[in-house]
Amino acid sequence: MIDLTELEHDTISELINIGVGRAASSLSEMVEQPVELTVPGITFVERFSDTELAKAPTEVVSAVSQTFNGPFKGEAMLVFPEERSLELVRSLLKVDVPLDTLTDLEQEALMEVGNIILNACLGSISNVLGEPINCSMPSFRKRETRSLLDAEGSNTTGNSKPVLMILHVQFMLRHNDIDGYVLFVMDLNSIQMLRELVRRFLANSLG
Amino acid sequence: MAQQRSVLLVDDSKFARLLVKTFISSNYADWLIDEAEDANKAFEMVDGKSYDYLFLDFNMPGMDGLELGENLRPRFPDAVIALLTANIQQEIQAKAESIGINFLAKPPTEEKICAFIAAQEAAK
Repeated sequence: MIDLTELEHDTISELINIGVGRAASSLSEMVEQPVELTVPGITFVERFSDTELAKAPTEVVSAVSQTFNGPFKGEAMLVFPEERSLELVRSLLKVDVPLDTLTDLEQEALMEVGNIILNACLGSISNVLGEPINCSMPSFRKRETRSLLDAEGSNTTGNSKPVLMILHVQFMLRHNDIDGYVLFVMDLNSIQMLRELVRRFLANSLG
Repeated sequence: MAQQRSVLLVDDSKFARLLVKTFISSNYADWLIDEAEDANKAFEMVDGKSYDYLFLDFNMPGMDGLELGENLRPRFPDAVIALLTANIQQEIQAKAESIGINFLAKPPTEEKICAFIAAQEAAK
C-alpha cells in the first residue's frame, strides 16, 4: 500500500519510540511505578477493524483523543479498557478521595493524562523533526473498540477511500494490572508528508 | 518558615488544578490558592488582586497560556509566572523564555512543583 524503505520504517518507529518513551516517563512519574512498553508497530489498513487492535470488537474502551495539525495531520489516541480506568485515576491521585469524587473526576483525570501523554509523544516527534505541530484540546470517548475511530471530526472522512497508517505502542502498569495503547492515525497525504520529512531528516543526519 | 504567598492556577483541567493545589497546600499550608479555568476568568481574578505565583496552562479554550503570560507579565513584574504545560515543544519553551516566564513540563509532581517554588523563594 505504501512503500517505506527499511530505513524509513525504522526511523518512523524510532520517532514514535522516542515520543512514547517520553510519554511513558511522564506516566511513570504520575503513577510512581515503572511503565513497560512494547516495540512500536506500524500497519497500513483501510479500516480500523482490519487491525489486530480490533480483535475484540465489542470490548468497551475509554479513549482520549487529540487531533494534530502541522506538516502532517491526524489523530492521536490513548486507549485503555474501560473497567480499569477508575483504577488508573486512583493511582494518579495520591490523595485519598471518596469514590463519588473519584467518579466525578474520572473523565477529567483521564483527559489530563491523555493530554500529557499525547503531547509528550507529539512534542518529541516535533522536536526531533524540527517542525511545530498544533494539538487540539483533548476529547474523551467511551465506546466499543470496533467503532473507536468512527468519530465526528475524525480525519478519516472524505471522498477517497482512506488509507490509514496505524502506529501503535502498548504500555503496561504491572502494579495496577493496567494496560493500554497509544495510537496514531494518519491518512495517505499525511503519511507521504511524514515520509518526506523523515527522508529529509535522514539526509541531514546522515550528511 | 516561608512567608505566606498567593497563587493563581489557570488551567482548563479541573484535575490538573486539583493536583497542583494539593501539592502546594500540603507543603505550604497557609498559602492562598485561587483557580481559574481560562484566561478570561484569570483576568477577572487579577483585577484588583495581585498574586505572587501564577501557573498557566498552555492549551486552553480561548486565549492560550503564552498570550495570557504576555499580558500578565507587565502587570506583575515581581511575580513568578510559569507556563505549566504538557506541550513540550521547543518552540513553546523558547517563546516562554522570550516573554520572561518560566517553563515547567507536565506532569506536575509534588517534587517538581515544590522544588520550583523552593528555588524561587530562595531567590527572592
